[in-house]
Amino acid sequence: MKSQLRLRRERMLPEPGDVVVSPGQEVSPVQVVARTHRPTRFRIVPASELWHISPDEVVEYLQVSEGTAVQQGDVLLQKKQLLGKKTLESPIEGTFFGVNHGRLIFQQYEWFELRALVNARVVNAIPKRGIVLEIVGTQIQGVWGSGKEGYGRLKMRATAETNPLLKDEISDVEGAIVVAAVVNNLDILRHLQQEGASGLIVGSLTANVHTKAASIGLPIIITDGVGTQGMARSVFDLLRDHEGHDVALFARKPDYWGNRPEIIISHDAAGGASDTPGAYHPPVVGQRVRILRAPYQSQVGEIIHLYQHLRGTELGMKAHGADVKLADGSVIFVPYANLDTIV
Amino acid sequence: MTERETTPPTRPESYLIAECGNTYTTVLLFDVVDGCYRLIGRSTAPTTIITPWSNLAEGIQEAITRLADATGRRLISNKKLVTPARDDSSGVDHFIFIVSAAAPLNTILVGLSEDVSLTSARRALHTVYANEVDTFGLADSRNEEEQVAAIIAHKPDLIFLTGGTDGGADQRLANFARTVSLGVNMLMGAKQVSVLYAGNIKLREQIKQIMGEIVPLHVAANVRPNLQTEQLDDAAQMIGEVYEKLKIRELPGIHIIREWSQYAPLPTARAFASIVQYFAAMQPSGARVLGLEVGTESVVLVSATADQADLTIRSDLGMGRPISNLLKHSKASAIARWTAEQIDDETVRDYIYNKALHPQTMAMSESDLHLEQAIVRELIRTAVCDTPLDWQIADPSPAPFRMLLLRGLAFNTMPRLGQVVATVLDALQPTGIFGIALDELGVLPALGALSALEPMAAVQTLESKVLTDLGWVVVPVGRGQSGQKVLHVSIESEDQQTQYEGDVEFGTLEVFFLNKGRSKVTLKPERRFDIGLGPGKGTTIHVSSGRVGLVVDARGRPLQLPQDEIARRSLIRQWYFDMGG
Repeated sequence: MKSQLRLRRERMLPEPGDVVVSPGQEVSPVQVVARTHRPTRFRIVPASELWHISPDEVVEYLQVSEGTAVQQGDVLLQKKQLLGKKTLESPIEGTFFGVNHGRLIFQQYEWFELRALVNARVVNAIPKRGIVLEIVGTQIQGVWGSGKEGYGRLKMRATAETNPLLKDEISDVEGAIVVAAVVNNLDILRHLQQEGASGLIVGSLTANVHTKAASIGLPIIITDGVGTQGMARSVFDLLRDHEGHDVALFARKPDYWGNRPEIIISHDAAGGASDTPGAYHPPVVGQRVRILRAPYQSQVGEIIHLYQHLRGTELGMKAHGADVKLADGSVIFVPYANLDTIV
Repeated sequence: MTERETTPPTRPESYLIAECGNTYTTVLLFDVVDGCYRLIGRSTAPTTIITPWSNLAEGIQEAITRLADATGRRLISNKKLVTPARDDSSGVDHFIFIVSAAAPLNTILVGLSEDVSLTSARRALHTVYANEVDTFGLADSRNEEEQVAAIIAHKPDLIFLTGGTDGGADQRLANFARTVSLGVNMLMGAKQVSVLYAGNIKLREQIKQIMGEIVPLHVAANVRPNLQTEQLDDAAQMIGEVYEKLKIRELPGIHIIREWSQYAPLPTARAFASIVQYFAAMQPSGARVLGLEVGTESVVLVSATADQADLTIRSDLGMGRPISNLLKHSKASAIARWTAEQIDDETVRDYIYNKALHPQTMAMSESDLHLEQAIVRELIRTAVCDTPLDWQIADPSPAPFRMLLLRGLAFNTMPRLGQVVATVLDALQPTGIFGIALDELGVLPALGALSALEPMAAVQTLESKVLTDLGWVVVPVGRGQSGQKVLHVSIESEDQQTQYEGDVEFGTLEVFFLNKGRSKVTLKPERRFDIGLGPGKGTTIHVSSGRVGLVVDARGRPLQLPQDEIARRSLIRQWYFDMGG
């Protein structure tokens, strides 16, 4: 969690295409920055089977070349016969990909437009692939994302950091990124989508909702975990303080390489910003941390002592860790593995 | 990148071995002390293949720096390894890199019969860190367009095509090959996919023609040349080569490490399998040794005799990100049955999905700890039950073994060693008499790698007690009533200072603490009970004390848990305390 920072983020096309903005240009969240023809589905026309000819003969009678756009009814194969011509017409439209063992392969495409999702300045353009944006804003890393992206105005629909979101609390959310503490019912996600929400930031989803959340099609970022624990107080307060701001959800699913989903709240660049700190922050005394495991899960505290050597936990395990002072003044030893730093 | 001298070493050579796991990187220094190889020191640091580092060399450099600080031996200078060793005792002669942190090989299996070719293909695939992302077989109801779409969607690293017995004339495999060829061709430019063919030898040329010149095709011996024979070695070796090329060599920062070493990187599980086989070679003729690793990203099983090591890597199971896959195999209630607390299914599922999101975290409450250990039990059971041919069993018990070697974060984070033993007894439900050792220091893969280069170094290091000896287990098998006498045990310490005699009753789990040094243990089972030597046949064994002691598991096989919830919880609690809490 980092506030009022100057961040750089790549926005890349899934397939090579056209970049339509230039370095130095200011972009808005809805602005298209690059576009491409993205393959959607392909179709197979079993030509040699239909004409009872060998795969080699298919090539002999072929009337289209690779990369050609074909309309339904266009002639694909043509063979001269004693009495006129025999033709095979295309039953579909698409781009002719090639011949594969006597079968004609067609690829169908759709336009894909990549939007900026944030107020930012283009600092680099990578031909055919995408751009690098410089954003002034607040970044919050999540622990899970639904695999979608979204943009909207931040709208709090949680009054406390552990309250489950109720159906009757979902109104006036069209185009908004909704903030909830807990969602424990899949119908709530469906209802959010029906009401036109652009995305959801949630402290925790219960397991039954989590397993199906990606199939709903809504951009969702979980900030804390799975269960009913809700949202860490510090994250909750930060989001509440930014209600009404533009927010972007980059709700990528966590991958093998440790990339996590992130929430970026755009700020006015005129307000000034500090540069992004180095990528890795070894824990230091005085640092604010969030605890990841029960019975202290989602509690925020401050590191007051770092241990150089392995130390026994309350349960008797040995771990590298730190003493953390919690909000109620109590001090506990927490393994580093159970801490998330707040920068 | 390496600080080198030109003078060749003339003394015994030293070895620095780095094992890069998913969570931690361990480095171990082996050198000669008083004429014998010893583990001089070890240190760990977080593995740094993931963001924000994206460079595995950083973690290794950090671990070496810590090791240098701890041993006072200069091993690294300006992030470069000091090699070979110098006369002032700085540096090291050899550097070996072992790794399990590379991403699994995403593979689509294509075969004809689920029970024959696909089963064998899966076994070959499980000899590397791999994920089976899809399966095409005769039972697949998808049409060709849908199967090609699946190839495009999965963007696999490897498509493993097999099926048919040698000499058969089944053209269905050729049809599958056309589908594969089309899918791979359509991914050209976006992803290069390797194809391995290990099916009917008669179709080889046709498969080569179908794949054409563009598709990278590897050909191996048919995994099922006939219905009665299975030959996996050739295919397994090729899959291993593909894994090394696509996954290990592509690790971020590996080029730095490769410059330090003349040896190819070795997958951790293979190194582990080597040392398990080494232990098997030390056992009486034909005796089996079982190796079990439960890590963050995989579960590894090795069943070895002196002649052969069967390796099974389950990258879809583990205590980290893959943990949620457990729910595909086990119900939440099946996991919760191993805890003494009343835990509802939703709590189990919440816990598992949370752990997948925070894979490196450790339990901080008793209830979490018990649930985590319950999960370990079901993970092991799932891995063992799913590998029937490797383990030559039809029931969820492995073939009898003489020794059990354990490693992995799941065991190393258990607060008490009795919990480690209890976990594997419940999960494996083994039989007979065997010893258990735990690799707390993480030395076994390193010794596996070392045994191939400098066998004496591995032998001498093992003699220096680098493993934690947990003790011995005796499991009598037979039907009985609760309270019925099963086994008479007499224990006499080597110095004859202490003696014990007593009976073990059916349904109990007894732990006998042994005096330091060796003890003579005489076991006399009742007529209807078998400790692996035949019904009623006893034996005398000479055993070392072990940190847990001698465990007699007379609970019966398979373990029966009471249906009544209160009785079940009471019994689990009793077993928990029997093993030391």
